[in-house]
Amino acid sequence: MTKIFPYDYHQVDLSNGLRLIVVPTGFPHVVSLYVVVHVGSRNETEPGKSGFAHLFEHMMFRGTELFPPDRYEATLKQAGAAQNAYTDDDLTVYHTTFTKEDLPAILAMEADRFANLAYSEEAFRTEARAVLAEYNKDSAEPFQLLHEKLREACFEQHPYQHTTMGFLRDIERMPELYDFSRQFHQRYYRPENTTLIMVGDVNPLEAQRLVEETWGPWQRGSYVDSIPAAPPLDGPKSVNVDWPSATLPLLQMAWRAPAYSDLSPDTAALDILSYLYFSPNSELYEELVLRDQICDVFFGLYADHLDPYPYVVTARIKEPAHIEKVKDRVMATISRAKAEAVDPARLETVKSHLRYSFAMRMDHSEGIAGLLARYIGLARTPETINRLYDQYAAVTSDDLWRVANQCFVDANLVTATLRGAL
Amino acid sequence: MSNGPLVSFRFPFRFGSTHDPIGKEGLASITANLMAKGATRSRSYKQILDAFFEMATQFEVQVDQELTVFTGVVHRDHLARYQDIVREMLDAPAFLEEDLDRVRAEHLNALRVELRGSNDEELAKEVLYSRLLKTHPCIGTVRGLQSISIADVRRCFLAMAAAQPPLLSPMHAPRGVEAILIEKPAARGVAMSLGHPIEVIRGHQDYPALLVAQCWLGQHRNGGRLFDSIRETRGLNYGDYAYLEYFPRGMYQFEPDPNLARHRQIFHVWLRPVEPSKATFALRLALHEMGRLQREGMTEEDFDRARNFLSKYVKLLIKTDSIRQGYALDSEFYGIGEYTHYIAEGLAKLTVEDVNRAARQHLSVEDLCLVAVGPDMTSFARELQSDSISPISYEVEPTDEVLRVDRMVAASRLPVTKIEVLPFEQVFET
Repeated sequence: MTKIFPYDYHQVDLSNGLRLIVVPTGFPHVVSLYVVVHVGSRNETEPGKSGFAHLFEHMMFRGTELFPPDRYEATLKQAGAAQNAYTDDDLTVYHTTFTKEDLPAILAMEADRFANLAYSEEAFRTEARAVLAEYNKDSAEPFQLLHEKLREACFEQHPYQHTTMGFLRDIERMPELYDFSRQFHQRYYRPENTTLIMVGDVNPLEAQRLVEETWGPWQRGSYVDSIPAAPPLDGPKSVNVDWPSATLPLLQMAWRAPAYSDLSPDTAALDILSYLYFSPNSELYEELVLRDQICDVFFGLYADHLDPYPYVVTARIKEPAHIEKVKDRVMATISRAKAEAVDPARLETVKSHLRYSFAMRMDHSEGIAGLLARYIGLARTPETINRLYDQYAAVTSDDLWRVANQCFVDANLVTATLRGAL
Repeated sequence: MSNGPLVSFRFPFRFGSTHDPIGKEGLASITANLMAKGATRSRSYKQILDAFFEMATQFEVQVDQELTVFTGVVHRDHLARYQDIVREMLDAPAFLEEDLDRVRAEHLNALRVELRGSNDEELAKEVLYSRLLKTHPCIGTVRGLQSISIADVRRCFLAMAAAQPPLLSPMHAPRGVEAILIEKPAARGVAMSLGHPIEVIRGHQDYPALLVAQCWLGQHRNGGRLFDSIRETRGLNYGDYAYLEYFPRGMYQFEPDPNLARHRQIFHVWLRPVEPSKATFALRLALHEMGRLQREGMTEEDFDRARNFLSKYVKLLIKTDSIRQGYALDSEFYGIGEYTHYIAEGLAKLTVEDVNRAARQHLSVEDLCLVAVGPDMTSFARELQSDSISPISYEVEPTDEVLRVDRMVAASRLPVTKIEVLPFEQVFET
């Protein structure tokens, strides 16, 4: 079978445990460097410490002895580099895109930052306040509040209970946790917990030599994490959220779904179910968005995670009076998915869509690196993409039927509704 | 550069929201969106969606004031079929009532629920632009959108291909600081945008110089003077940036999309939400930093750094064939050469004196419009009006130098000449 990921890649583990993945793409001049640290809000298991992985992403821009923030910034400017970072449930990603002649300088500076981060308590407290400002900025969005409440209802003992931003009560207390922040760095920012991805105009062996030279001295750590397994959901549950001003009602129906896997058909089957029943190509979308026009946003999403995570159907509904109807129509569609044998031609259309969607994203090095980082966070090798797409190709109507019947049961269901002030 | 098996399209029209008739604000956007998201002579919209789904593609449209552009990227395996559909979407849209209902509702929700309801930063920016350009936002107004009929859409469609350049009215020139404060009781912070018209657009001799000045003040995620002072040193908010060109959706991206080319631009500073009790101080601090650029100018070292950064950074902007097409269309609009060459040549000739002179000549901290969205705007209005000291306190004592600057900033003059307070529900109603 032809592999879906169209590039050869070079994957090697350094003796300190750091993994390097180099992907020459043929797109000239530009290199994208993505540093994936395998820590996210999933690792925030201690009470009062939610949101810490994200706060730590901020702290990573506070410099080292060798490269204080000014010098760090000057070096990036010298390279004309575009840089950013993000944190999610299962990973934290730092990315920089630049022209290839700056690779040695950027690699050396980043190696120093990850191994030797140093910041004062004052800088920590100031940054913790910037995180609160980020929360405040996001709080204008009703989807954000609904998402927070949905997670709280979906998980009682697993850290997926909180968003990556963390509980507001914990964000407000963050400035007091300077000592814990040092501990956090010691635990998780270690080579065996980090993967370097380099994509673009880059020679793999030359890249490996540079990485060994600059990242090789980084000391391996010893921390062993223990993430509690979430107990069964014991649904159905429902949660109602009030929004303080006028807005359109939002509905999320969420079923606890299995963790990401490229070894069984379940992940692939859930994605395909999503396209069949809840995408713009589905009958339900046609009914709710195009024909009856009672929703203006409607989609289903299975967001790949390391641990079981909800499969969520989301709707924005034009009138509060239609909330129940949308719920009923979603439930009727779920019942259908659990009962019917899917038309083979339609299944083939979805599979073709998946293959072409992937090919459409292979259009520039930065985009390819960004996509890779997501999968590296799940399985630490680009090969997982090839395995997942092989699973897509092999999914049968029976797989869809089995997965729908295992996942879409009332015991797994949380329904969250947000209503605006009248 | 080639994107291998992908083929990119851009179909530009010198047509946009400036062509909207009075009372029909939003017509250009509704018409173009009906072409990109509606039925054609021989296909229902559902059939088009299904065909695009199979090809894993889309056909999108961006409507700005003076330019409307349709864009698509398709895999070469589907090229002929895609072209066939897209051609019909551009040449023979059906303009059905049911599609108008849906697209109109999308526009109204984007305006009322998203822009006004949940995106305070973008709302401040759009109000600033609309006030200075004396026009409505491209998406339209509530009343304008509600009044649009299929007959209006058909007329607009016929006018689109043969449109004359719009008559652009002169922009509003603020005298002193003119404040528009938008009351939003439930907001947790105050989002602010401030700015004034500038004559410098791409092609103007001072464009490269002001680009360097903009870089020094700072762009989204690229640091800069505003970011360092307001966020990094004092932790007052999440970020602070300056722009020479219209930048919608700035919170989700780092650069404006191509094909937002305009003959009328404003210089715009964007302050992300600040805790309400610190809003006046943050505003003063932003004005202080902008003022420093004019009073003291950039140093030779800062200039070299900014210029060097831009020389390389512009090369990273052209990521795909589609974006390359977009920049080429903009260059044609402005009558300049290929964008990265234009910038490289302009930067190569610059001196630090050119930048400092251009900043003094074109930028102002005295005459500008301020738009703020947040809670308790009556108190904010009182603070602005009284021009009284806005002291600031921190949880951690900052350095003596920061405290010294703070004392000066807290007592700096706010030359406020006009204040208007209005509830967010009234913005862009008419």
